[in-house]
Amino acid sequence: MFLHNLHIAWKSMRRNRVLSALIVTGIALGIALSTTFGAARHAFARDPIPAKSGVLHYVRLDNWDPAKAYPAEGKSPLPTQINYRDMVEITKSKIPVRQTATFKTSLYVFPDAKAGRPFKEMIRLCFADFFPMFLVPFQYGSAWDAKADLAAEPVVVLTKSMNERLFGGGNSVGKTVRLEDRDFRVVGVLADWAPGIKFYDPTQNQLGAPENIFMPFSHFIPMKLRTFGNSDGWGPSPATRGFEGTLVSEQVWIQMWAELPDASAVAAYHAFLDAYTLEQKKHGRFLRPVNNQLTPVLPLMDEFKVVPKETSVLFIVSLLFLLVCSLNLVGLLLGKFLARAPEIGVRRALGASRLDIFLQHIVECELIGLVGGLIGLALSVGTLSLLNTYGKTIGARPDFFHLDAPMIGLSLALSLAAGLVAGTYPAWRTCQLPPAIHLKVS
Amino acid sequence: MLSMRGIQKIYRTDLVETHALHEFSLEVATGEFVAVMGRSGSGKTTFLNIAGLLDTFDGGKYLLDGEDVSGLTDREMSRIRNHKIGFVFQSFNLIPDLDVFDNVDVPLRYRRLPAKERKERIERAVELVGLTARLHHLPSQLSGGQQQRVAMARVLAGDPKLILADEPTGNLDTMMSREVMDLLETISTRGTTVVMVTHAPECAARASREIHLLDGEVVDLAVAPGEVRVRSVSANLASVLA
Amino acid sequence: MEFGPILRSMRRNKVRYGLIVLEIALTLAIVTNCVSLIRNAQGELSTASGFDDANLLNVRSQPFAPEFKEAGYQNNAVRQDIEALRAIPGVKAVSNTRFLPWQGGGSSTEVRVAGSKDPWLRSQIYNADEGTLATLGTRLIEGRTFTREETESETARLAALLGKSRETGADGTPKDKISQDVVISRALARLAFGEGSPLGKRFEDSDGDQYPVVGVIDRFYNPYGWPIHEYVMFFTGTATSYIGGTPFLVRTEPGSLDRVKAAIEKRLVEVNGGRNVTVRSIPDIKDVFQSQQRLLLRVLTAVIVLLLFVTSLGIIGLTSFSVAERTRQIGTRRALGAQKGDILRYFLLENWITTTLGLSLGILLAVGLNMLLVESLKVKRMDLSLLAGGVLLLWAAGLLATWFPALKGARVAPAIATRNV
Repeated sequence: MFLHNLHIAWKSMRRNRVLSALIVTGIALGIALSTTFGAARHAFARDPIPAKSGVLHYVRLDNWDPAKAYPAEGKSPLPTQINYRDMVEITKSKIPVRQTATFKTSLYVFPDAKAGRPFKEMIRLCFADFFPMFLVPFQYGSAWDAKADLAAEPVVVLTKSMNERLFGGGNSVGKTVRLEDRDFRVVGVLADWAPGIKFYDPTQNQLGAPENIFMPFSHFIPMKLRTFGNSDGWGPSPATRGFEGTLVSEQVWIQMWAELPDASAVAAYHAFLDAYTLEQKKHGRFLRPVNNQLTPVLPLMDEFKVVPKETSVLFIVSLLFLLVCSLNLVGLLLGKFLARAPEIGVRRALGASRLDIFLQHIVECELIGLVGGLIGLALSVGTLSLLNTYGKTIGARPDFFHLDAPMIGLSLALSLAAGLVAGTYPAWRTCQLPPAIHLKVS
Repeated sequence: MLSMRGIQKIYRTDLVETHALHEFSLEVATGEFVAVMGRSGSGKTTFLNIAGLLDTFDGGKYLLDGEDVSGLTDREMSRIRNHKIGFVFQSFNLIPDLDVFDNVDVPLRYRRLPAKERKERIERAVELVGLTARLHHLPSQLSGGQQQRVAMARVLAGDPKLILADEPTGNLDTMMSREVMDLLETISTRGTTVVMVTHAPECAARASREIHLLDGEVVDLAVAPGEVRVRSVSANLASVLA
Repeated sequence: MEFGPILRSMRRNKVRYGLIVLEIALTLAIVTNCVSLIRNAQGELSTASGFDDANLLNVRSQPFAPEFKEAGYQNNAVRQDIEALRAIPGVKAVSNTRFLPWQGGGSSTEVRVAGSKDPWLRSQIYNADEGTLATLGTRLIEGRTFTREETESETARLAALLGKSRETGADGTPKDKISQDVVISRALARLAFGEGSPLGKRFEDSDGDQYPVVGVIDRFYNPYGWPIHEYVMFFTGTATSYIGGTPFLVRTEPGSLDRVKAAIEKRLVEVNGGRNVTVRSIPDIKDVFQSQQRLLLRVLTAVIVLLLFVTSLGIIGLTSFSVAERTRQIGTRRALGAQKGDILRYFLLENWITTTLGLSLGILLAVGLNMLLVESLKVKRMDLSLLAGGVLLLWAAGLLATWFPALKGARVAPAIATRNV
């Protein structure tokens, strides 16, 4: 019966081509637009690390000015990063199965003379756990080990593109890179790694590409590095100035992550942080009410407004647009179906029940929705590539805006929904037509 | 009232020419009640369309109420239809979304009459057909006979000189047919010319003259022009009209 | 004219006309709000910085030679670079400043009127030298700006003061207060000191350090994350460090931007090879900064065009259906004496009533949607003239979309009336 209905629907669509084209065009435009903006929003909102987004927790402590809270939105705003001395203390905890403190800096890279002039490069400093925590894929070698973290061993991990720039690709593990005035040994080269959102550092340039060189955090002290990210402080300048000052100041500039596999680990770690701040209060620090936060990846993206409001607004507008298209369709379908009244009279007289007539027309509406949806989906591939062309400064990936399985699913679901919204009333009206009248008149 | 001389109507398609009316001539005097009969395809409807200025013709001369109507513009034809002709159709042709009052009102509005006069005419006409109680009913709420009476009220309200009826009882049963025929007859007795296309002999018998069409030509004049037969009118209608 | 009967007939087809009413209402709401967003974006895009943007270059010297770690060497290099840049043909003015227009940010600090308990004001703050105002092309309207000698002596004085620990007093701030002269924007002067001349008045920061105002500039606009686009304090000093490099702004003669841009890197590396030099034009930087807004603008325009297209399609479809469905009725009306114009007018009037009902509802929806947008996007409220424009536009679109189907209706032959189904 369903196949029969489908057959009738297809023949009906082909019979009145102009009207069908109008109807399908309308729905295709609606689907194209809502898919485009749905995908645009999804490009920002997509879970960047679905396997672990629930267990990776961003760690924040409120060491801010007792006089006024950290200037951020939200119920209990607190600094977006932590300072050095607290980082040193809380990383002593064994509760997280993995953890990393991290920040970025900028250093000169001195390649072989034949590979070109020295160049400035963004470098990320982190713990060995950074790579397994964030599921960073390796092409050659591996991350450094915990020993390298402790001893500030001169080791680096390069991205694929940095490996190509410095060594022309290939397995470079064991080769040497000169950064500023020191030599570093390559222990690993990453495979392609392009998270759409740089979720591991939400404080700046959330859509940027990952840094190209990684080295142990512990180089911070011997190399006297400073962050190239944000650094926030409050109150009078500290008495100790210069590099030594940053070791003891309340200035926050480090991003801190803990991998906590379950609720009990989260609770235990939270308790540990609270105990730590209470202890510090005895030494005249942490002058605000205890407010330590552990935030998983998705809520963190929410809080740091990774999704621009404009994209959400545009998505809503596009759904309204689709609604307009559906409303359009109700009128057109009503016309199409009621024009068919004599035929329906005959079908009713030949024994078709109201439900049969209703289903026959709903199938036709869904077919229209689906055909329109597929055309709309094809159109949205084009519009998304337009967005990528005109918005090339937005994301680091050239295909930042693209369709993935959930978006294709959404798009098809929307087209079926649009067909249903548009078709239910006309189909209902049609199946209410009494059979007798039309037989008599015709 | 109506004078057709040698009227021709040819329908052309790519392949064939059909002579729907061939050298068609007919005189209808003012006040006459004429029944036009013939089988399907004999040219009845074509004749009616031309007589009612619903369609143009390809040759001949047609005087309506003494006015030569060949070569009139669409606008002038509309005007004549509106002022001089009243139509009664087989399938009533009421406008389904409008109630009785608004349906009778339709031609009057095109005459640009003031609202007050329209209202008086409508109420009188609806009263004449005995449907005052149904003034604000929709056509779908009325029986076939009642619908045809509304259509007649629509004619009466316009007070036309010529009434063209196209199978007015074709969609009605015997009882209702009789009511409608009574009405037509009554209108005719008031001096309005009535031309009725029908293939029902009992209806044609009510007319003062019968004309038979065959292949677009008049084949037989049963009654000489000018001679008017008046039949008895039902008592209640007569009193209303008096 | 036929107002009453049309309205009564429409009331008997509530759903069909209701759909178009709703569609037009939504269209008005979406179109007017999109236009409102477009105007907002255009407003932001067209705000002038007050600088000679079109002829500005940003030059960044990033040293790697170890000599640069020494302050004296570095300061000398800055002086040499300024002279070398000035000597390039087509260069009008050069400044060593960290200020970079249109990068979408910068540096800022909190100050208040010295000695007061006023709330803290946030202002952008950058270093300037003797060439900064001439390079930006902004005008000094009061007081003075800085000289080369002053820039260098202040750099040395501050380096000495901040190089060692500052002893703190009982309130936790340094005992010895530093004083630095500043040139500020007129907008900041008005915000802090009101209408009178701010010359001789002072700001202080949270350390208690003092900032006497010595000059006021006319216009300053640099978009910032916070709403402090027009507030700036310029102090004098050299902007250079081994890690951060040395930034310059270069103003060229009109028309020589590209030529100067091409010449700079080679010239500076000739002067000193122990560094990399990158040059970007301010128009390029501005372009990157505004690209998102411009994309939004394009997208919104496309939405409006498509929406009007779809709505017109809807009206055309519905009127066509109306005409097709009422062919017999039209024939009857024609038989009863309606002229072609009467039929045309009937459909146009019917559509006009539908559109007008839709627009009335649409005005409510539009205002509601706008309130949501104002709330969530912090944009300006919609201009009422925009609503009026939207109403006119949709009236016109409605009539236009009805015109052709209605014309088709007017062409229905009156003889249809005698045709029996």
